[in-house]
Amino acid sequence: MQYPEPDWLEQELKSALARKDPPGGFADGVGRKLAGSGPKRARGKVIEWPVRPARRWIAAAAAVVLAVGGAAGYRRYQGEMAKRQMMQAFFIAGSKLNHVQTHVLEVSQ
Amino acid sequence: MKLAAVAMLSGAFAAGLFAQQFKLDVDRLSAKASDAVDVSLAGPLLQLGARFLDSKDPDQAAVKKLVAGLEGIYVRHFEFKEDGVWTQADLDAIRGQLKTPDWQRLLGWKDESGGNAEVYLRLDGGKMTGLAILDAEPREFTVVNIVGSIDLEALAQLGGRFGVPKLKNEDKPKHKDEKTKKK
Repeated sequence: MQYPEPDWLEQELKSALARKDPPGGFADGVGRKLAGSGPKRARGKVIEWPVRPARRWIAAAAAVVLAVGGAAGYRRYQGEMAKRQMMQAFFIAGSKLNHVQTHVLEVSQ
Repeated sequence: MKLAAVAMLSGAFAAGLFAQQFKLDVDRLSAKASDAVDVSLAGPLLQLGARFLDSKDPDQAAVKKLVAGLEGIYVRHFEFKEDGVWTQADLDAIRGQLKTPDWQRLLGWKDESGGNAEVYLRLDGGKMTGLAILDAEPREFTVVNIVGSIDLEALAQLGGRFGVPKLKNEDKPKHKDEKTKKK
């Protein structure tokens, strides 16, 4: 048993599947894109991937070194300042005690 | 965060304030002084400073020994260009705080020119826990509070050594050879 195909379907199919010519310069454009973008994608995947994490690690390590170095430097500065103050304080305290002792000894003699 | 920082700062300030065994309330003189020394070293900062002392240097080695038993050292020292800048009230304000059973007057000295020096010891159960030195001369005013146990003889010797005037360059032999030449 055969069913007659409707004409409208046949027409739709014909127009949809009909050969259409590409716009002018399409082939050249595709060729340029393939030539230009192909190698970049490959470089991005193969070369840039290991570089980026390495840079991040280097930056993080540099930040840690700077922070630790800065803290150690500040600690050293604090220590040197404390030492200078301490020497000055003992100089004054010692001189004054010596001064009093000397005068008391002089008077008692 | 800010509140925590403020709390920490006030805690540190309070710790510093209460570490002193009496108030060294002589800031009034600071503005009038031609030369002023204000040292407040206690706890970790004192120990940190001690770590930087060079044991090969005799003075620094002596200070290192003295610091070992200390909790803090506070010094206010003022020098003036003229007489009569400090008053008896300044002296009495300090002296009054030392007239408590905790403190014992060890030495005292007074001269006709108005010079006045006193040394007090703080004792706790027979053990020395503090030292106060008060020295007022016509153009100088000094208050010292050392918190902890300290060898007085070693401190006085250190002062004596510091006090020895250094030889001027022209007095020093420039080369070893000069000594032999003189002979």
